[in-house]
Amino acid sequence: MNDVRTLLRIGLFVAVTAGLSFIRVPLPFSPVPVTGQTLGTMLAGLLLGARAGAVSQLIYVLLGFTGLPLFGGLGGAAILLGPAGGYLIGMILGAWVTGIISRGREGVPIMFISCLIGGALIVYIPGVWQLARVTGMDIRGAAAIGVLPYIPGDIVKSVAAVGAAAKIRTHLDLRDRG
Amino acid sequence: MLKSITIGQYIPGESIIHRLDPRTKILGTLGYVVILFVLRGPAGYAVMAGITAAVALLGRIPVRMLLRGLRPVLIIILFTIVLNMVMTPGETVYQLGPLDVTDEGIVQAATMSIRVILLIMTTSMLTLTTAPIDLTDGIEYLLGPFRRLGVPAHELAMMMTIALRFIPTLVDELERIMKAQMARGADFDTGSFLDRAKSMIPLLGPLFISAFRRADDLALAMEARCYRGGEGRTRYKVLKVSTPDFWAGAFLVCTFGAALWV
Repeated sequence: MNDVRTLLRIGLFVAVTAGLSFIRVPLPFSPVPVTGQTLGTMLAGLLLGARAGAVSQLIYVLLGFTGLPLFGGLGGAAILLGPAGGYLIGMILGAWVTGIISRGREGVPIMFISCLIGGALIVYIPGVWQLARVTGMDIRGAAAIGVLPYIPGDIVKSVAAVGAAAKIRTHLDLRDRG
Repeated sequence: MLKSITIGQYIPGESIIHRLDPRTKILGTLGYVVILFVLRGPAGYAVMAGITAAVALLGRIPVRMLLRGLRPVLIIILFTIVLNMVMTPGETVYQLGPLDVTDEGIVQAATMSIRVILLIMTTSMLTLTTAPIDLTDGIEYLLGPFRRLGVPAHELAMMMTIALRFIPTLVDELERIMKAQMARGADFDTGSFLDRAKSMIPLLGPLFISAFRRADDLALAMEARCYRGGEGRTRYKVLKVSTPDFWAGAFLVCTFGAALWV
């Protein structure tokens, strides 16, 4: 694959993640909403690979940092430094890990596991850490309100990511060969 | 709403703040954020609030726009206030059931919320007065010196611009696919939340396939026009540092110094 094409595909995934961030379900007891953003993270890792996937998430975070309302209608440094900002940083790592685990493996189960680890577990590590730091909760309390309510959503998103990625991968393989 | 995202919050204008070089504004905002986090004491916050007010006045930014920026973080602010009031150890001023509101806590809550409010107002002024394209241009220049360390400054800025260009395209594409599927009997509007979420999944496949096609077409078009990255590129719009930028820089250095000193 040539360079300009990768460049544009990365740009595309930044836009996809931004679009997915508008799917959001606020939870009354927590400052962190359930969002579609990590579906973008999973898809970027699965379809672009580790490096390009991580770059796409990095650019997403940078663009949001400049104040564009890409975090589900919000944006700016304040969101990134706020209670839910750690999850955004986690998305960069998450796409990379998803890409690493799923590299060169076609099976649906392994793709599903890579999504759960990369798109969920890895995202939580900096996410919970920052939630605890900003709000002054202890790590255990932050994990209780910052991880548990989101697990059903993660499973739904992983299923959707694998379903879509499997279809798109076959299609892209045909294109790249032709 | 999604379509207007690429303009972001930018309000076109002719004020002196609008005409400043984006690099000046980016560096100024970053400096402001850093100072805001190292500040101690109420006098410093007063100086910082003064800077924000001065920029808002000079930029003729409507107060309404500044307040609108605060609305989405209102819950976060309330959350920090309550949490800080009851979690900070100190002398108890007021008993709220099992929780103690402490004097230290009230001070802490006030500082935290003022800090967040100033942070959001000021960072949103950057995007209120600067078009996103100018911002990405500015970021590219500012990252330029790091190119020797392997940071692909031009490529990063290029990808940012492309992402902004793709957002409206994706929205159009999504609408088109949804209409096509609705014409064939798909139902996106009724049923439980889960049902509606499930009905979105068949959209992802076609959406991505057509989006990839567009991205690859654009790549081909760029290559056909000999796009080869940042090396030796000339620009239609050249960023220029002028006298007002020096004044703005001098003003910020002095006021930041004052905020730290008082």
